[in-house]
Amino acid sequence: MRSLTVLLILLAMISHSHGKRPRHSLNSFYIEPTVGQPWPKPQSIRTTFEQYALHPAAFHFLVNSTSQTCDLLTSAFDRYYKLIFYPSSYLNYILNPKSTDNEIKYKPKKSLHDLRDVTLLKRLNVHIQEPCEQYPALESDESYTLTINGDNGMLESVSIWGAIRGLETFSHIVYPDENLGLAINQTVISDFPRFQHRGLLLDTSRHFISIRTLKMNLEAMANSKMNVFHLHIVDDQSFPYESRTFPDLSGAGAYNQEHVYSQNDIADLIEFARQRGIRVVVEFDSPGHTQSWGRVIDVLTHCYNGGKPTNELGPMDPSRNSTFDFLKKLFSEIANVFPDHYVHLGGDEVNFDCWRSNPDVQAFMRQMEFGNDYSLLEQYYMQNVVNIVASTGKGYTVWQEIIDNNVTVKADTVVDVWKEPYPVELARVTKLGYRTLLSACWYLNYISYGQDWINYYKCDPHNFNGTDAQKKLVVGGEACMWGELIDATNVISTTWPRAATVAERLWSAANVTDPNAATPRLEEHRCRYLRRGIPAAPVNGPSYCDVEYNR
Amino acid sequence: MLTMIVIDYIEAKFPLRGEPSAPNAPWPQPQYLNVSSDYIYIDPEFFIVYSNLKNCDIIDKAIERYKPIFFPPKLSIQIPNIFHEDQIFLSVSILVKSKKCHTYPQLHDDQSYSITIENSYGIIFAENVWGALNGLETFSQLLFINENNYLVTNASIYIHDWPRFPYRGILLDTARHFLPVPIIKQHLDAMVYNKFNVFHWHITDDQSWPFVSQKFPQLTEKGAFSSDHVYTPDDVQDIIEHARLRGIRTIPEFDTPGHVAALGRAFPEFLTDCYNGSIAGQAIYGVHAEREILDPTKEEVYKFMNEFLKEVKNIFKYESYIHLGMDEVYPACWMSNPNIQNFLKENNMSNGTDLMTYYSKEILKLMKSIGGKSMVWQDIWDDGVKLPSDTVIEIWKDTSLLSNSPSWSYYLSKATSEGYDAVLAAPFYLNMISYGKYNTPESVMNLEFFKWYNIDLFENFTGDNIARQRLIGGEAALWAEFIDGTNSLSRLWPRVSAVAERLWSSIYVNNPEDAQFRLDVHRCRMLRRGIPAAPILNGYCGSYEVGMKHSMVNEPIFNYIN
Repeated sequence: MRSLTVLLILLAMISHSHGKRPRHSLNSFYIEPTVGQPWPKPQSIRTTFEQYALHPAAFHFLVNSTSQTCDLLTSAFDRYYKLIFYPSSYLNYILNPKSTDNEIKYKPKKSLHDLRDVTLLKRLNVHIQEPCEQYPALESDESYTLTINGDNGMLESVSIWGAIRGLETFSHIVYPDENLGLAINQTVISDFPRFQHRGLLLDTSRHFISIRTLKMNLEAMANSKMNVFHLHIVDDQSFPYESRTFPDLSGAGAYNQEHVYSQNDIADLIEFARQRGIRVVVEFDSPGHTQSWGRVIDVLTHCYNGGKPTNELGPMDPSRNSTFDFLKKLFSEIANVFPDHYVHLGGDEVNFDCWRSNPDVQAFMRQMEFGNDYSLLEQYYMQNVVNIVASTGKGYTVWQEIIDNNVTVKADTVVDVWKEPYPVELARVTKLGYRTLLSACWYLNYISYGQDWINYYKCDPHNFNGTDAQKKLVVGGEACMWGELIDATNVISTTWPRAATVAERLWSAANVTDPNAATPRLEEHRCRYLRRGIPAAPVNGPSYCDVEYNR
Repeated sequence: MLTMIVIDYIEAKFPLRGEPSAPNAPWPQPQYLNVSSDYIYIDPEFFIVYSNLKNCDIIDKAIERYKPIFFPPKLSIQIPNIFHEDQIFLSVSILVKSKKCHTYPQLHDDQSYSITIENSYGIIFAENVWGALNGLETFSQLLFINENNYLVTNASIYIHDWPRFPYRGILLDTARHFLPVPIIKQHLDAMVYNKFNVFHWHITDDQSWPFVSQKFPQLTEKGAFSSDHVYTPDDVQDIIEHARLRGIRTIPEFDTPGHVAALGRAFPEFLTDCYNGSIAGQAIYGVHAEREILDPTKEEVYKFMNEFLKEVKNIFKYESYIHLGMDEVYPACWMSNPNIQNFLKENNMSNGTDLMTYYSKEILKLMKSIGGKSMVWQDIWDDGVKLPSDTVIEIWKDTSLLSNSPSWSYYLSKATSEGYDAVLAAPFYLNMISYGKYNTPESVMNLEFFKWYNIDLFENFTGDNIARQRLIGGEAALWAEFIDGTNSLSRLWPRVSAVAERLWSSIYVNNPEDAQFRLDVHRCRMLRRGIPAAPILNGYCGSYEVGMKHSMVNEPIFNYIN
């Protein structure tokens, strides 16, 4: 019945030309999804029409005898086996590993007897060159090659992370087939990411997001080969991080004691991410965006009005040594809890009004000879913070203001560009020799009607005037889902598959830019999410998937 | 510990303006409400709901349904101590004055009710069962679990309440994307929680025909997305019944003569062959497709419509109205067709409007002959077709949608002054999303909410008092180009609650800055009832949020997955 596509596309054209059919204006697109096409698009992919069948009783992942291996590979085999053969129970399996709802009740559509006359893909041999790293890092190698030919498949990579990316691709090129049950075509893929840092930010302060939902989001990221989870964990509104050193921070700063991430939760989340080759970069934003920190711990600036203290608190108080003593302890804990080399230090949107009003801060300004330039105070604060974090051995990511404000930062600092016009800032930051990543054009929380992903897809982190050396300093980008109007009710369906379009921009070759060419693959990718139990919303107008979301 | 009461509204730069809400403030705001400040306690084991109507399914099933709403599963409720005896709330009685157990709600049924809570006893008083359901819903919103986990309400409450408009609709579109039955049922539940009372089921369109017809099975065989993307006769009855028991009318829309590409897959011969010069069935880019729109000159089209509408009338047997669509018919294809040109000549017609008039008159006549009443989009009325006087006209056009169109208030005034009942949909296209936050320099406000909330249906209305009565209400539409089971509930709720209050409450309940706090309380209430209603303010609800320990979204009692 999809032969009607032509008619419907014609209808679509008509309604556009009239330009006066608001109900209609976007409704007649009906795009046929691709079959067995991976997302994001590999750097190189060649397929033929030769098909092989897969059957759960006759398929194995194998580790080559000369390959490196580790627990990450074993558990990835287990996951991808379930994902490929029993997708409808997969999500439940990864979210509740102990649940008894297992694959036994899902019978394959075709029996081995049905498939006796066709070639079965019987094994995927995996070969990893280098010993497994324990955690993924900015510098990790994610390249792989995947060859499917006859009853044998071969997946080769330098690192465990490349093998995990390759397994994801493998799961995309297996597709449901009427005659074969599950099928795969003869294929050769050679693939690697264009950018090393392909991130997604979630904000757990404006609204709390349950660990279960965060895991679902990590799974969705892995499905699109995103590899950095930027956890904007605290902000003005709440402090859900349960600190070992300062339990009062969440004790008073969380919405309530159910809306906290315990140390176990955090460890669980980091492990879940690690299994998928995803880095967890946590952000403790200061000196602004810290109202929730100051409920019991006296580190914020007391605001004054007419010479008298009001009840209001401002940004962190840089005039007191105790503020930095506190930060030393907090960041040394964070350095321990979060294994990634990078901590995001925020540093954005500092409002100077409260600093200006406070007599102690004023005295400190005089003492430091800052005059009336409060940006010097901000610089002083951030300089202290980056030094504190550097002393823990960590590197840091910062919002662009820190660099705009001339703070001296370590050479390996990554600058997060979030303001428009981003090409100017990217040029500026890279000219200073800093690594940078782009967020400005990917604020996914700013929803609008229609195929808004096309704008995300068109945005490119290399879109600025600079030398090759400058371009090389761009490590990637991040899609941001700020949480003012987002919580677990809508975070997945608002983020996915829109974030996947950012993922393709960051992974695929620079010339993969045509939204029309991407659309049918995006349709398939969304339906793939649904098949895996992830409620990715429709983004291309009317459509359907074989498996729809009903809960 | 449950803290549903103390919700922090921390806004960095600007404090939220408006009055914080009581944890049990009802939504939509009742017309008259008087509440004492002291509380009485409820012991779930010893709380009784009485009714003066025996063996009435509407009431009996409602009482059953409200049990898990009064006493939410998974949330711990403390049993009040015995020394509270005089502070124990013992029972509520539902008194239906008419003593009639109605089967199905009608537009002008009395929907009012009153609630009295005094001296440990409560009374919900209503003229008929529909008012009683409204009362029961408000009553359920008055109960809350306090900070010490006691289930409480105010010790004395008096409410007298009635809707400002009798027709308060939600349109769901199941053609652009299929909506699974369990999701539709959750929407119906959420409608009850917001006192919406009409489900406008835009069931078919160009993209798909999911409605299984027993007379014409080829409609879904060829017109549905797939054999899984259909509503079987059982599904349809299930939905009608689910709605009926909750006091909600289900008005199906079968849109013709346009919006019929999916129908055309089953009956290609019903469509008009469009001509490119002398070549039949050839599209002209930007003008018309190969074939589109029913061909009104063909007798078999009317035969089909007659048979089909009879079947529909039988299936939606309680509902007197069928929505016939009749919108957005563009005559280019018709006019290109030589047979139609001849037909026009023979019948002294000159253009597409004449032909549309002819078609719509035939269909309206046919509706009358099968005993049905018609609801239509405004287009045929715009064309000057004289409609049967009991036709309901739905206004969807406005300057903001179509630059050369007058405003919706103009249409409303005109239609009602001509003696038609009219329903306003134009400003309530909830699918047209925008980012709603932080746009004013001095205040934090969910501007999207504000946008829906501050629409006054009588703005610039020029009709007389009789015409005012004919503006029967409004309808929020969730067109489904970008909506399916993944996002329909969180997209619509609680944003559409703004429309609910506008349609129910007094015109004087119009301060969005106060309302946002009550709505935030209400969204948490919906979460407690398993509806994944999205946030409109920063903050939190409780351990029953999605994915948390006591998450209600997957609680079997609140969803309908088999």
